[in-house]
Amino acid sequence: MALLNAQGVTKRFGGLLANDSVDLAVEEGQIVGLIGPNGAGKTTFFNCLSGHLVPDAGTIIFNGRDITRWPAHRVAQAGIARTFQLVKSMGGLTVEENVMIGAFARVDDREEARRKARQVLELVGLLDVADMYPGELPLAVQKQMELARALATEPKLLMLDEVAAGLSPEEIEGFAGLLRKIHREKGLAMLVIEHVMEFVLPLSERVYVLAGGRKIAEGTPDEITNHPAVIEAYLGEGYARAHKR
Amino acid sequence: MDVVLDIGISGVLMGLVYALLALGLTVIFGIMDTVNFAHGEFLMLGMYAGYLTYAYLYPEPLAGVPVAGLVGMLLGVLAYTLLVKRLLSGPPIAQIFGTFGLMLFLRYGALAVFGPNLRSATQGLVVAKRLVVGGLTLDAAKVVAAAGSAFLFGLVYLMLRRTKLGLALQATAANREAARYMGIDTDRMNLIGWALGGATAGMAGALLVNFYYVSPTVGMVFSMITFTTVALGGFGSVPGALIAGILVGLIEVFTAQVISPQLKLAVIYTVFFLVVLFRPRGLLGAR
Amino acid sequence: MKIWGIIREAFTFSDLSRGERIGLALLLGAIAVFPWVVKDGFARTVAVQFLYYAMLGLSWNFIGGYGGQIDLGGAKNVGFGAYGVALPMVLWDWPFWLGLPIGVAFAVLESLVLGLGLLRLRGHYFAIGTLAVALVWEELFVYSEWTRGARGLLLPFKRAPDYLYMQLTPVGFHYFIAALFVFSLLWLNWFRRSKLGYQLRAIREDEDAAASLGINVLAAKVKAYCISSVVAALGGAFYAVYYGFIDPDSVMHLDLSIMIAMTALVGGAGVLWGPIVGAAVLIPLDRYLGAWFGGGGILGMDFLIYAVIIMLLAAYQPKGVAGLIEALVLWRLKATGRSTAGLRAVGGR
Repeated sequence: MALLNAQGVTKRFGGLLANDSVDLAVEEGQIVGLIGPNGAGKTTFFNCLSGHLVPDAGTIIFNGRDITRWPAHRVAQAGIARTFQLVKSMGGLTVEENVMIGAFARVDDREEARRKARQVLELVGLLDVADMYPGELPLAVQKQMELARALATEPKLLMLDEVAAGLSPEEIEGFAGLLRKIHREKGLAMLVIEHVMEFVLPLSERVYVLAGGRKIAEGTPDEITNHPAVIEAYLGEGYARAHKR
Repeated sequence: MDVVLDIGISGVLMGLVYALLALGLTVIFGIMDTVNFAHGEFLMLGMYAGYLTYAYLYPEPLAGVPVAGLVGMLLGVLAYTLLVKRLLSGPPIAQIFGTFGLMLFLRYGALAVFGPNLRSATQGLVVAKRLVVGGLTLDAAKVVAAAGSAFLFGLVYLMLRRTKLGLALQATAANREAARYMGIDTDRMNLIGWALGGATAGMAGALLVNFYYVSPTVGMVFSMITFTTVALGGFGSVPGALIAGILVGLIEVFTAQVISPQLKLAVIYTVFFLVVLFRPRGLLGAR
Repeated sequence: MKIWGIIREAFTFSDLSRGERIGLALLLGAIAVFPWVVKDGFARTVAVQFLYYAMLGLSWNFIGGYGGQIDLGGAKNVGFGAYGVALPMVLWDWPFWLGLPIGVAFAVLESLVLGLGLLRLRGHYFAIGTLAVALVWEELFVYSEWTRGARGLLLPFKRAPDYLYMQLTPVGFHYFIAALFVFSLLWLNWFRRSKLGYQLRAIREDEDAAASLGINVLAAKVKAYCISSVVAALGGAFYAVYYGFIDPDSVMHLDLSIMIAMTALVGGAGVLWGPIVGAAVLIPLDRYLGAWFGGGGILGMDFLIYAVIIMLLAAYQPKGVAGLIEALVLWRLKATGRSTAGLRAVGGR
């Protein structure tokens, strides 16, 4: 039984079919990539999973429970944590307090939440900036903070929405390393929406491709890079050739 | 049956004035996603502009309408350039409090300058005149206010639909970023939106002088009626403002007749509350 | 055991700066000795009004300051508290202590029911919604015969001090409102560092992010809204017995709602001591201005001045006095070349 099993997820906005019967599964401890060109419906799908949107049709089973129509906070309490494409750092709270908010999902006591927050901050290497405000920090650090905040909710599944967007190649490299480390230490499953192929393909065990709101392919990273429909829809000949070698 | 018809007509007449009021607010809201708490105060000062013109320059309330339009426009421009523009870069709390402060400033400023006394026009072309149309007796002042409001509403509507400026305003309302890429000066569109809002509210105020008392504190009531109208019609929707205006006018007069004149505002506020709660995009707005 | 933890938390101010703690101690000391040092009747009245408005400002801070939900209808809860005491006292000669729980319970119940609707609204919509609800209540109280409408309620006269009907001497009233003020301060102090307080601050910053971290946004907002209504209703109950007369104009009017939000905004919304500083600035200003202008002064002058203050604050310093202090501290640190990191938490937010 997969940890997350989404079937036939469909979402309409007015006349626009943003998601057309999308299926996706994530196994326990697995890193899954979700790729697709702009406007493919990736973020919409994500929002359906996280409870920020309610799908028009389809079912989402997480950890044996049907969470299809659950609101976002219940989904989070059930063990799905997420980050946002445009970082949502809480500017009036320090980095530590931001992460404490995540920790409060599991504990009631402030000092216990603080302890947990500091543990997670140490894991992602942000203990030095714990007392700073997010606005004073570069984007890459804010993204790390958002990751730490999500981790502090002790999720079983971590969903990352375009973490590499807006980062330099070195920062992307660093982020990939960080995710590997977290995966190694915590063994938690991840679902990674990504635009930057160089980031997501080496990281993922399994990749789904969305285009025009539909799933057009799924497979291992190798299968995906060689999949004709994917190449046509998204990757372009250049990338495929470069990676075949 | 005649009573129902009488009340219905009276409601539609008031409703047209509300529609003109809501038009300015909904245009501002559409363009910049901001609510102007001082909208009713623009109307109140339009009423004073109209009344003072009548009292000191020319003894005909209708002569005050263009003056009130100019005063309202000036108010809108000043409010935007001196205050609202600065608020836009601030936190949400500042945006809410900012125009709320403006509302208080105009309200209590008017109280300090004009005093608390109610004033009203006692003579004029349509003041306290009856109009008999096909067996129905109508209040001429209300008919003129409604006709004037409808005319101005139509004018603004045509401007929005047919002129280059109107299209630029609509484009800004639809998508601010995209409008900017297309070379539209969105800051100027904000300013024009406020000028338009001020002018229409001011003229609506002057039209009311023919049959409504003038006082420094009437603004709040009209602000709330306008919020309700805009909420009903859908925030940002121009045709919605027209239909919702008439609807609010009807709700008002029927409540006054059926339940109690004292509770007509309570009912309108309740309608506002229920609409934003259950149909946040407006009764007529898109889903 | 848990209750002791809460009490300890309420009395803990250790995260405030030294200056803030000294200021707070001086204030509490001054409140304690005030009636013994100052014998002037007018000054005593101003002190009571300062404490009353500071308390109402603290109540606003729960939902408006920490929660970022701009409540423009705070007066309704004051009205419920005041009428809860006054109405049974006038109708059936009930003592203060029987009416008090009725007013408070009604305020909480109303805030719970309407809050479940109102607090789904965001930003402007919530602000307008609270305005609309408060105006409806005011109209209902003005036009209802049962509440004696606009004529108001004159409380039965008892010989002071009467602790059953809480008709006290001036000194007694001073300590009565001081006790309520301290209670509100401690409650807010517990709140801001509690789980609920953190959740409200998260909601103020970003509702979607808060929900994604497992916060039931609506439930958290409703809780804070209800707490806020309790504190405001307590203030209203005090008002009823202090003045001995209430009407919709004095305890339910829009002007009161504005004053409540103003005290917090001027001092610093979402800062523990913000409403206290706000009330300390506004109330003496208002009362002495009123005294100077006298009966024949300019009508509405006080609110005209408030309006200018609100606009200036909104445009230049939305964080009020607390923001000014922050800016000053920051400027001094920069001038002396010291690090500014982590030194911004004025008021132990």
